[in-house]
Amino acid sequence: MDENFRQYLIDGQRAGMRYVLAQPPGAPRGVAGSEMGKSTGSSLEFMDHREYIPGDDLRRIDWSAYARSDKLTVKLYREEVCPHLDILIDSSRSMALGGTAKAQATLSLAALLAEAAENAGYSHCAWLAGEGCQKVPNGAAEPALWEGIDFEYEASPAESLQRLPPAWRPRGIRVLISDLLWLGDPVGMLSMFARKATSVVVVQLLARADVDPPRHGNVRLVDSETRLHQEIFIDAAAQRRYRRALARHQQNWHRACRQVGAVMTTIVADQLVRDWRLDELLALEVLKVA
Amino acid sequence: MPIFALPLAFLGMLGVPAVVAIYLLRSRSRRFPVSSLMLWMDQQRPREGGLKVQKVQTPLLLVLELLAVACLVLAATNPRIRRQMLHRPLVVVLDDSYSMLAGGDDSPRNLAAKGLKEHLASGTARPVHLVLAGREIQVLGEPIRDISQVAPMLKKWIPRSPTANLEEAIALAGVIATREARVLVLTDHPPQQDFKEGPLEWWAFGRQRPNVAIVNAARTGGRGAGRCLLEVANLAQDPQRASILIRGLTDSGGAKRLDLSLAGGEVRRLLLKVTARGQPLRVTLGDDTLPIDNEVILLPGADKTIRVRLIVTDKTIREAVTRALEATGQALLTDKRPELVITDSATGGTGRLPGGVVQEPWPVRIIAERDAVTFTGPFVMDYSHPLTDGLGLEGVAWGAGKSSRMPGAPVITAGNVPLVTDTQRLSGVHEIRIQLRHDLSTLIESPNWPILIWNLLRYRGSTNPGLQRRNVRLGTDVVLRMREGAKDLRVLEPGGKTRELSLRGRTVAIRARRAGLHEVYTSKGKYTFAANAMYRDESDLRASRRGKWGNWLDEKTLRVEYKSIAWIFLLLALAALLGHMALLAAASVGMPK
Repeated sequence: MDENFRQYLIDGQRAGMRYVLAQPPGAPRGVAGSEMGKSTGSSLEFMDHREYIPGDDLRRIDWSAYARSDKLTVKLYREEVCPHLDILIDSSRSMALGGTAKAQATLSLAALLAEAAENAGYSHCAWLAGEGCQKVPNGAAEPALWEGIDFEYEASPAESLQRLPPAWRPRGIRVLISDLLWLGDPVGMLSMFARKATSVVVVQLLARADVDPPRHGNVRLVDSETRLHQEIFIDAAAQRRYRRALARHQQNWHRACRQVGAVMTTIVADQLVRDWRLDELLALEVLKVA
Repeated sequence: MPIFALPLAFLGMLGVPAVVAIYLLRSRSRRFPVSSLMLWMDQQRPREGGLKVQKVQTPLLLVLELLAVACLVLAATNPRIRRQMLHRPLVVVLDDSYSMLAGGDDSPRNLAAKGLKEHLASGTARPVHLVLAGREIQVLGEPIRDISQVAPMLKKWIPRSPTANLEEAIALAGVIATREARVLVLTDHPPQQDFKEGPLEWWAFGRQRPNVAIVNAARTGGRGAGRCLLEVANLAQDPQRASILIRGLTDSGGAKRLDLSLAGGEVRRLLLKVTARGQPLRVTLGDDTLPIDNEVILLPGADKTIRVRLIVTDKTIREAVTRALEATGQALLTDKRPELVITDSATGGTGRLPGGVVQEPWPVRIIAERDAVTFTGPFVMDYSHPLTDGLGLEGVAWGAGKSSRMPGAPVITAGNVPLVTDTQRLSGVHEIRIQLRHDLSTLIESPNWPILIWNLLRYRGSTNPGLQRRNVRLGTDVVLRMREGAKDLRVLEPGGKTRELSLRGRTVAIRARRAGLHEVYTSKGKYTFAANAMYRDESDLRASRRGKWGNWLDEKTLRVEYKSIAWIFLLLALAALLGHMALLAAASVGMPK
């Protein structure tokens, strides 16, 4: 693995020390542990009442309420869960676009989220969307120990998921870090990604060059993944068209996220690595300041 | 073939690579890696552009721009083409001097003729006047109006003159030519001064060549033995060897050969004894680049002995006259058929002439006036008179009578006192009168006295029939005094050509136009003279050059002979620019909004 990548992970891990992974609006569901789940369980934290159904545990009957109402109700307690974060890293070439901080931001953000998850008591696992979705070696350990990360994949994470669907831990939080710049209906991919997940976060990581089209003049655009090129003359109209296309694409993804119950934000890589401000994730309550 | 009046404007062609460079730089594309082309798929491809500096794909716009630049540059050079059917007269001055024959087939004459034919065949010069520039200027035939007339006319151009009077010929050309005419000089040497644009062009076809030539030759002694003087010059920078063959030194006719080694520029003088009587002396050098100056023919001089009868009573005068006559070697003191009678009688006859005298002698009277004074000058002389040739009377004391009346035209006077007079009678006889008191004079003791006697003899001899000289230089005149009643003068030139000369009086000047022996036939006799090409300057080929000077293409020529076609290129440039604008307009319409 490129040594720079390891430094990126270390930087992200260091930045993640300030954050804890927040419970997303959908409470995490998973194996019983130290966290309160959304469902009822056997913890001591009262959650709600319901009518007594024969067969309920008699110890759960709220006798005080019976005394007041002559109705048999049982107390519901929050379940205890062990929350988990799966981070899916898009390892296509576009995520390491030359001349940008995209690779750095991708790995640093993944490491930051892993560290924030650790701070919140979550377990985590990093996945790489390449030839298939495969776990990053040492992906469950601290990010500085992750291995085998490269950005050589020539297709999209959607293809990776179809080719080799990963064995996600159910009822965990899943975060996709990708630039989302591929053709295709995102709903299908997101549906697969969000299956049996408690919460899905889609982080669109774009370089400044992805957001702002090149300046005026004749340019030869080279696709970093397919190596195809296109000659084009950039003027103000072309720039407007590009921005509109990007906005449409983002709207499409937002719509798909809403459809599957995911949340989506866009982060500019160059800006992230400059000041490590994650206002977008804080606003979405994906992260909290520790 | 068009000409360009302002060729400096071609510097504008530097704009062509500039346009190409701008086009290439403008068309250069920046490489820009992107994450995906999916967001650019609806963008329009550029009509132009490519990799950084790729080969020019000749888009139409670039072609039109280059065409416009090229046409504007060509228009700026003011291109002109010759007007159709426009003829301008041409006067060609042909160097007629014999140095034009140097080099045989490769001579300047042949090269000039060839160059002239080519020029006339390709140009619009009509009519063409040919002027021969030799010692005299001569217009060669009628003006040429058709190209077919050129070759026959040029055949008449055979340079033999000892010199070429090109300046006079050019002046004559100016008289012949109209205002629109041009003058072309064909020669073998450069002009004395350079000249630029104008109606005169100077074409030289000469080449530096070494030449050994006989530059001087003379023969003394009449029909008797004498001597021969030869001067052979090596007209070259480097030493040359020359072999001279001399025939006719002796009556036996044998030849003598001399081998000379001459340093560069050396003139070797040879003095040879001639014992042959009456036959020509032929001196020949070996062949070299200019044959005409390699041979001279020297005829024995004509017998110029004048028979003189002395009737002088004064002893001093008689002795002085006798001494002077003997010194000339051209006087025969005799009483038989005298041609000159020298007497000290002022009025008396010249004595009874022996019977059978056909020709009346000239009396020369040396008159001693009793009442005389000494004149010490200034003396006034008629320098056109043959008697005064070579006289210098400064410091001479001349004793003579004081009377201002002496018959005859004054030849020498002291103030108004005639000292020498000449009276011409109707018969043609000249009576010379000389006033002289030898006791009051220093004339007899001065060199002027034998000179005067010499002039007297020669003056008398000039009226005798025959050639004044028998050996002349090429191009000069030979004066022939014919016998009384002679008619039909015909000259047979070397080479066999004969020409008839008209006679006015008894004296005729015959121009020696060719080198070699000339024979003159009259009804009263035959005469022979030899003409030799002995001109050192003409034989010196070291100054010969090849080149062209002058330029007819002046402003007047441009205006008269050529018409401008710049407007064609301007129209082409305009069409290219309009096409360029139309293409750009079409491109902007086709661009998506």
